[in-house]
Amino acid sequence: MSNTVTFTLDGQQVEALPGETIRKCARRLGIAIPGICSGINPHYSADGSCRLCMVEVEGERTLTASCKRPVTPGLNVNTTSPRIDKARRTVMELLLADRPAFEDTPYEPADRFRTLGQTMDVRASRFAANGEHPPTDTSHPAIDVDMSKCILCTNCVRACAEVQSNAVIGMAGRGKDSRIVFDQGDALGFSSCVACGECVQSCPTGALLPKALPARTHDTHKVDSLCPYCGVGCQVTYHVSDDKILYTQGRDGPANLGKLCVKGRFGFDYARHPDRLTKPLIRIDGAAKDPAILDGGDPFSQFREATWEEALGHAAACLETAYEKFGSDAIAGFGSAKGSNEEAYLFQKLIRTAFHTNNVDHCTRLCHASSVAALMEGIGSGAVTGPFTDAEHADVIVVIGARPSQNHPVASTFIKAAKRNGAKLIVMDPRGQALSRHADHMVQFTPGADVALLNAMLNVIVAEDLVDHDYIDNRVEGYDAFATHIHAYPPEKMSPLCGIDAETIRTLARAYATSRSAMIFWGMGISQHTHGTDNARCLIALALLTGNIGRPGAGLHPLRGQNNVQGASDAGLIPMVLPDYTPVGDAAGRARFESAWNCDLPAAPGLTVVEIMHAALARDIRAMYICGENPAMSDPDLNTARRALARLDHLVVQDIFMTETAAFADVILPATSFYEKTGSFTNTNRQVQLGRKVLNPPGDAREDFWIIQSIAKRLGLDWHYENAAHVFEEMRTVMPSHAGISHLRLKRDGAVTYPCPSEDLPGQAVLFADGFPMPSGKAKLAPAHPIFPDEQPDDAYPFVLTTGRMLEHWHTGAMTRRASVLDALEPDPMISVNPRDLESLGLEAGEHVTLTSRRGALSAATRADRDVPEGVVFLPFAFHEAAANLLTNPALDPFGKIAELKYCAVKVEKM
Amino acid sequence: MGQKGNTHPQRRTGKPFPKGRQATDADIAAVRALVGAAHRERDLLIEHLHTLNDHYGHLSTGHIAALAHLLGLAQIDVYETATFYAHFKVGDTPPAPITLRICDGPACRMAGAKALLKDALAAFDDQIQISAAPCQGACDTPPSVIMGKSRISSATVEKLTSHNNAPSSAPAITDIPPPSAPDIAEAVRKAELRGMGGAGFPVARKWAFFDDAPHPRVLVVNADEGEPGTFKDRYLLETEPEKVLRGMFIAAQALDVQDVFFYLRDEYPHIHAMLGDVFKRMEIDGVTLHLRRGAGAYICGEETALLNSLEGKRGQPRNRPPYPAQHGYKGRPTITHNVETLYWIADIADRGADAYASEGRPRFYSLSGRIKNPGVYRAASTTTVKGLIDMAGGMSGGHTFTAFLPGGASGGIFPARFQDKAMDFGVFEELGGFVGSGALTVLSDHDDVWDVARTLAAFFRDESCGKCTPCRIGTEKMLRLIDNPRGNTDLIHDLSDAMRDASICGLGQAAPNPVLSLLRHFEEGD
Repeated sequence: MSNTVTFTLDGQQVEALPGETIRKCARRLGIAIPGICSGINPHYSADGSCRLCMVEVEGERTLTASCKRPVTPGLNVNTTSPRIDKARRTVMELLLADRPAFEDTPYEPADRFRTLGQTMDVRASRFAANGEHPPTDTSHPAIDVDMSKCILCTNCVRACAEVQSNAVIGMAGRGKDSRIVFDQGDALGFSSCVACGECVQSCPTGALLPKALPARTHDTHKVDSLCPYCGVGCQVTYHVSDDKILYTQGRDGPANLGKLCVKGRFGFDYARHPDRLTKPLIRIDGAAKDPAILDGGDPFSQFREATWEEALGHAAACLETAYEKFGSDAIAGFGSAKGSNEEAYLFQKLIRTAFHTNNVDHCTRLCHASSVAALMEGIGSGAVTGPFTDAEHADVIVVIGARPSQNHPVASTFIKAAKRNGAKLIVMDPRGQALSRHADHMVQFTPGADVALLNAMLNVIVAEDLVDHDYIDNRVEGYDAFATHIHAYPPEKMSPLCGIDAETIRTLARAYATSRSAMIFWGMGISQHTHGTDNARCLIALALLTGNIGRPGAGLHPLRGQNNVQGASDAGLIPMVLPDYTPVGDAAGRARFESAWNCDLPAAPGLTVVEIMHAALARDIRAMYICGENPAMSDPDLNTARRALARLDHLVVQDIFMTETAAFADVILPATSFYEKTGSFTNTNRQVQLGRKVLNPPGDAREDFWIIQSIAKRLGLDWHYENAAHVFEEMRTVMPSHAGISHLRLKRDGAVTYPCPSEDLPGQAVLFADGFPMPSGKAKLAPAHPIFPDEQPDDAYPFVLTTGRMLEHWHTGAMTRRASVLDALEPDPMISVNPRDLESLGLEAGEHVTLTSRRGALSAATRADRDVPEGVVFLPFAFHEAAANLLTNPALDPFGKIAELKYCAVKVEKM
Repeated sequence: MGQKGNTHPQRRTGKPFPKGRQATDADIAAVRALVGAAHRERDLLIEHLHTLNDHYGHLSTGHIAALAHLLGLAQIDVYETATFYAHFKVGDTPPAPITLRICDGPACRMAGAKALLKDALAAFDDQIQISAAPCQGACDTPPSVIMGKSRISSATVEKLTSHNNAPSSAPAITDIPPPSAPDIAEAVRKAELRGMGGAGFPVARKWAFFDDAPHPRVLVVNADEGEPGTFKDRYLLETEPEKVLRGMFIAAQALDVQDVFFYLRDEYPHIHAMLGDVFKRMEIDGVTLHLRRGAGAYICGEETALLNSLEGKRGQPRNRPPYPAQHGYKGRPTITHNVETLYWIADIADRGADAYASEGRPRFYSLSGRIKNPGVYRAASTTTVKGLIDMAGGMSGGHTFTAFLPGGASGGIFPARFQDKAMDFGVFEELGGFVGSGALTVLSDHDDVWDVARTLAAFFRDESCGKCTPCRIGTEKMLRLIDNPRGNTDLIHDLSDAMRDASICGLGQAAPNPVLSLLRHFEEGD
């Protein structure tokens, strides 16, 4: 080993790794040294305050904390001696002196302090207790606080401040009055806590505990799987008892390093919600499909229970009938980015091979379709060029049109840590956010003015010649034309459009262009516009002009929303491409699939999500199979979308709840939740990971894989897949980028990054170091011109409505509104309004208002939120009581076919 | 289990505000008006807190939220720091406009500080907030009281009630000519000058740490004199500030530093006024001068705790290594010198190493307690306890010498039979004590040594930073155990061993000294 350090440990000459502490080195060599303040995993810093890990260093007056002491050459260390033992035991007695008697808990992390005392054989203290116990704090829906158990190891403080970079927990007071507090000594439930639960996992004493755990359990086992929510792809260990998840722990996955957010930590009990569909349902003859049922009606009243045999037969027969009657173009399918890779693959294969249509799409259309369009056009690949964990290698990090602390919380921890370690952070968004406080530049520009702002930055880079000409010469096409184009957008001219002064624009451009390596993260704020593709083109141009792609810490990272939106897209759940992004119009590529699947495939791209809804309204689409999607909540202009769904001759919905979409179904097939099946999922970093079955499905609910195959069989397809692994093996054979990934490898390694062409190669985390998958091998600069959002505010509708997700609520709320903790944290739709606008409207925070656009109206309470700029209101689209998409504008980006969900005109009226 | 505290109704409704306390526009404006367009660095946090605390008399939740907002910090960052320091009044209830702190140190207790506290509480209405406070560095004129920014010596209730509350006047200072001492490093080495803050580390060896240190480098002046019984730094800054500052400049030049931080304890407001004025006028090439106020925390005299305090954090010591000379203020190479050390650096620059050595490596002793003329005395390092008492005119009338504290609260308590021991580094160590900062407190037949030990144990409990277990919990348990020292001897010894062996810094390591020295030299005989 290179650069090892030789020293003496308990009389033996040993080698320490560079930078290793005495305790780490001893542990590696099999010598256990007690300790409680060094966190719960290697990603924590040690505090050096508990003083249980004391060791003797020859020649030193006092003992030393082995968790903090780096090994230096020649050190002579003893880890055991009567003196050491006495000091450690006395310290343990001091820690035990003032805390109450231990109680049994099924929550393993909370037992670590008791266990340590037992290991050290110190079970009682000779010191008299001081008898003062702080009151318990049960104000939080997820976490109970009992500081009488606290030993001030400060693991929670570092969990909050360093590991998650949230900075809610700290140590207040001094000496014997030192105490763990939240914010300003507030009750946890009233603090700024985001309930990531890192502190709970890190607490060794039970002072912080998940709420409502049973005192004792039997037959507890653990399952290593994933989180079902966002594209970060956190690895999770589920602790299960009696077919019920007791609690979760973050696993040391490549994307989360043991961390979780509130959803992954506490959002799992939707799977056991009484609303779960447990029997196949068939629409009662004559029960009319009427969107009005969603205004407080009972959709179940329109259905009757059926056997699987009947339901599957009915579903398949009706799809078949429509196909025979109206042809391929009359059928469409929506798969889901929440399903596994295998499910996505099977679903698109079913639609394409049974109905000979490419009318198969999923919610990527509503999130990153425009980003993907720009990326395909510019660099020939739609996925991220490097993982978000690379933020640690970046000098400059740009976050634009994304709120990762809310929507990709664990990814944001890497960004915040990078900033703490010296990276420059630039946050660009019309709304403020949790990252604003950390940002070197918080750029709150005019909503919808992305291209104006970005073009001005690009102009500065070209005008001041901050361009990486070597890179341009070797890797990029179209520079001269682009330079001419961008000449027309100097900062002074763009400044009035975007609301950012010219000098700041110059500063930003210089900071980005002159950095050694820079990463750009973006989200729906970029993509969900009629100019979404243009927005992304500008970001790509920033990276290309400055050569910021293809190195660790330099890259483009569209933060993918759903846990498997990357994988579903990879698997071909898109109307223009077959698996592995093989264009449907590419005859050779198509032929490869025709031969593999033994069928003819259509060459024309299919319709996209919003187009399918329009076609349904026009009765061009007659029958649909919707698997795990909820367009009756997620599509723009819901009144229209719901009318369209109601007009279908036949609708098969496969889901776990009676969603708003299922209310329009003819057949509802009760499927499995994430926890009830095994399959692979691909996160935003292109890491393919294995989700394992944690629970049994409730009632007669069946695995999605089984349901899709059963329909396929009834449609005459000769399918005999045995399990997910079997499906994945087929996928490997038709998807070269996944050729090196087997289920076995996934089981063994936990995660494999694609592209991974062969089993003996690691996956490629950072792409395009040597060129781009373009015909010329070079990337292409694409010009963008500023255009206004489709619907501008006016006298009648003076406010801009912007929509999105929130930390606690996922998408259309089908899961999170039924997760008890998440729903308790954010139980109601709240319209965020700037306090000054509230004042000018004569409203108090919390008062209800009516929000009206040209397409619909809703009412909800207001939230005074300074993050929202004046003239803008924000409403998450997760609440069926006030479905934001009733108001949104279905105008589409011409390239990505994504709707302008981030911008429409509304009026706000006091109720 | 603790008793039931905060609970919440089962059915929740959406909150009309985002999570956590929101800073209001009004509070943001009020705080901005006082602290200006604060730059988003945490290191000035304590200065900002002083500004608010001085102006409003307390730190309200609203103002803390607003300050956090302006500085780009989390509220917990501000709250953690604010609640650490005794001089910040954190809370929404405005306290009485005037604070009156009565010294609770050993010398002031001997001079009737407890009775004064009782009488003062009876004499004043709730317009005055009265509290006991640790040593104020005025053991030569006890009892000491600080009222607002005014220091009152030899305080009586009459003196307090008639006090006009005007700030104490700043000591006079003349301008300091640019220092030039090219050979100072060699002179300091030759003089065998040692650090006068208490540890006695050779200055030349400290400076050698900087031989290859990268820039920018930092010099910190530790004027957080807080060891009970110690007041020599105050004395030097009152009587010869020019010489101390000259020493500071010489050291800054010799060490080639880019920043000098002068960290002054908050109990010396008159010196703060003097330095604030003089720092505005003085310049030294390539060096930025920073004057910082402590905020009532004995522990910040500890070098690494002081560095954390300079960074706007809780004054908690750091684990070493890394040592500050490599990784100090904000990770920069940092050397810290005590005020008196700088004085002697200037002295050696003026007179040469030989003169310093031939005077017997003199130092300034703080003498207090039952002696005729308490005060600061310049004497050779080899001077005995008896010799110092004689310099101070002998014992006070009616008092018989029985015991003494050679090194403030931390240096142990010894019977009079050790009076011929020299008050020098390395002498008392073998007896379980040390002279530290050279604070000799003399006890008489009127004093109960166990009473003194309890006072000191309570002092350590109150001043422990709370970071490490042995000190945080140990100091509290020690105070209980010495209610019955003879019955708890074994446990006291076990606890003391753990505190000495396992505490992070000198506070916890030395905190058992008074108790142990009593057990060893008074109870067991020697």
